[in-house]
Amino acid sequence: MSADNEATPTGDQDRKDSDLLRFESVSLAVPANSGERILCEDVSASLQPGTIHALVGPSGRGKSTLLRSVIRMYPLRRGEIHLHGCSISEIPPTRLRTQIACLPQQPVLFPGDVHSNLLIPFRFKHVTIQPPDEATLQQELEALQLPGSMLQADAATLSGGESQRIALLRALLTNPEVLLLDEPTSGLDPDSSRALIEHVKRWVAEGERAVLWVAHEPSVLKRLAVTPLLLEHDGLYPTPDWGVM
Amino acid sequence: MNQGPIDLTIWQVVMAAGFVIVAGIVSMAMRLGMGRSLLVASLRTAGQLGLAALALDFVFNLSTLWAVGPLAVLMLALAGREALRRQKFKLPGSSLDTIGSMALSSFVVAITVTGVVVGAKPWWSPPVFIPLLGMILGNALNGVSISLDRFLSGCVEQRARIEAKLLLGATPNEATLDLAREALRLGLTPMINAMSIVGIVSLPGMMTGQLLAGADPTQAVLYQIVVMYMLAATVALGSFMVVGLARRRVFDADEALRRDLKRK
Repeated sequence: MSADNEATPTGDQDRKDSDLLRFESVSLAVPANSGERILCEDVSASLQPGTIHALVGPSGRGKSTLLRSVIRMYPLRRGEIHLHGCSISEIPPTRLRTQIACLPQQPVLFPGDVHSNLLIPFRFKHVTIQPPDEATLQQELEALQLPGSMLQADAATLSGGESQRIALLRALLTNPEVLLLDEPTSGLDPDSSRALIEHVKRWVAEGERAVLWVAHEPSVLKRLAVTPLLLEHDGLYPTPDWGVM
Repeated sequence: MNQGPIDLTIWQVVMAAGFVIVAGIVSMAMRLGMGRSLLVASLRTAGQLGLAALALDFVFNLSTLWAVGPLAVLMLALAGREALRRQKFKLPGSSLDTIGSMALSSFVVAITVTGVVVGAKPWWSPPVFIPLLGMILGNALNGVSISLDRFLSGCVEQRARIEAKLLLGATPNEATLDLAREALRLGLTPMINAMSIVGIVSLPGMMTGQLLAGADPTQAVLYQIVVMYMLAATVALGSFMVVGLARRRVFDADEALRRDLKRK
C-alpha cells in the first residue's frame, strides 16, 4: 500500500486501475455523548495485488474499525473505499464479504470438530466454490505447522494459537482476494506466530491478492518486512522506523 | 345425573374467602411477611373479575360487533402491554413486531375457530369469541415473549459468532438460522408439554368450568381438544412471525448486526 499523501498527478489513473483496494479520504467516528467522536480523518491509501501492508497506531485510533468498515460492518463517516475500482457501497454486503476476508482479533470457532469448522463457509449460498477434500485440508494444516490429525479434534480443546491458525485457514479456503487481519499473532507463542506469518506471505505470493495487517509487535513487522503505515488523526503515514523507537 | 349448573351466591364466595383467611393467618404465624400481599391479591381477584363480569354482561347484552370489536382490541392492548413489559432487550421497532405478531396470530386463529371450526353464528358471538380470544391472547403472549426474548438475548450474547458467520459470507438469515431455531423451540416447548400432559396430570380450567356448568363430558373434552390445537396454532404462528421479523430487524442496511441492540 502506498499512502496517497505523496501521490503524483502523472500516471494516477493507471495506478488507480490496478488497485485492488483503495481508501479515498476515509473518515471514521464513534458515537459519543455529544454527537460523535472522530477517530481518524482523510485516510487515503491503495493496495496493489501481491502485497502485504501493515497498519500500526495507538489503540483507540480506529485500526480495527477501519478493517470493519472495509467489509461494511461499520459505517464510514466520510470518504469511499473501492474494491477493483468499484465502491464497496455498490457491492452487496454478503458478496463483498466473500471477496474480502476479515479475521477478528479473537478467533471464533463453532461447536464441533475442526473439520466441520473448516467447512462452515461452504454451507452458505454465496460461497459457490467447491469444498476442499480431506486430503487437501490435511495438507493445508501441515502447511500451517498443525498436524493433519487435528481435523478430528474438538474445536473447543484447541489452544489460542491453534484456534487462530484454524480461523485463518477457514477464511482462506473460500479464496478471497483481500485478507484483513487484526493482530492475528497477539498472544501467540513465537512458533505459532511465525507459522501464521509465513503462511500468509505464501498465500499472497500465490496470486492476485493483498493483505492489510493490523500489527503492533516489532517482531511481526520485522518478519513481514514492510514499511508500516501509521494511522494518525489526520491520515495515514508511512513510518519506516515505527517500533524501532 | 346431569343436574345442570349450581348457581352461586355472594355468601358462598365469602365462605370460600375463609380459606384465604386461614392461609393469611398461617402466613402471619410463620412471619412470611406475605399477609399484605395475600390480602391485596385476594381483593384484586375479586375486583378485577367483578369488572370483567360487568364488561362481559354489557357486551353480551348489547351483542353487536361494535361492542365486541372494541373489547377485543382492549384485550389485545392489555396483552400487548404485558408482552412489552416482559421484554428484556431494547431494539427500535420490536414493540411493533411484538404486538403485530400477537394481533395477527390471535385474531386469525380466533376468527377461524369461532367462525369455521365451532361454527358460531355470527362468528363474533360474544359468549364464544370473547373467552376463546382471552385464552388465545394469554398463550400468544407467552409464546411471542419467550421466542423473541431468546432470539434477542442470543443476538447479544452470541454477537461474535453471528458476526463470524457474516464475515465468512453468510447472509443475515444464514447467520441467525441456528439461533432462530433455538428461540422457536423454546417458545413452542411449553405448549407441546401442556398438550402432552393434558388430562393426565390435571384437567384444564376451561374443561373443568364446562363440567361445573353441567356440560356433557364428551362435549367438554371435544371443546378442550379444539382449544389445545387452537392454542398450539397461535403460539406457533405468533412465534414464527415475531422471530421472522426480528431476524430482519437486528440487521442494518449494510447487513451488519445493529449496534443499538441492548439489554434494557
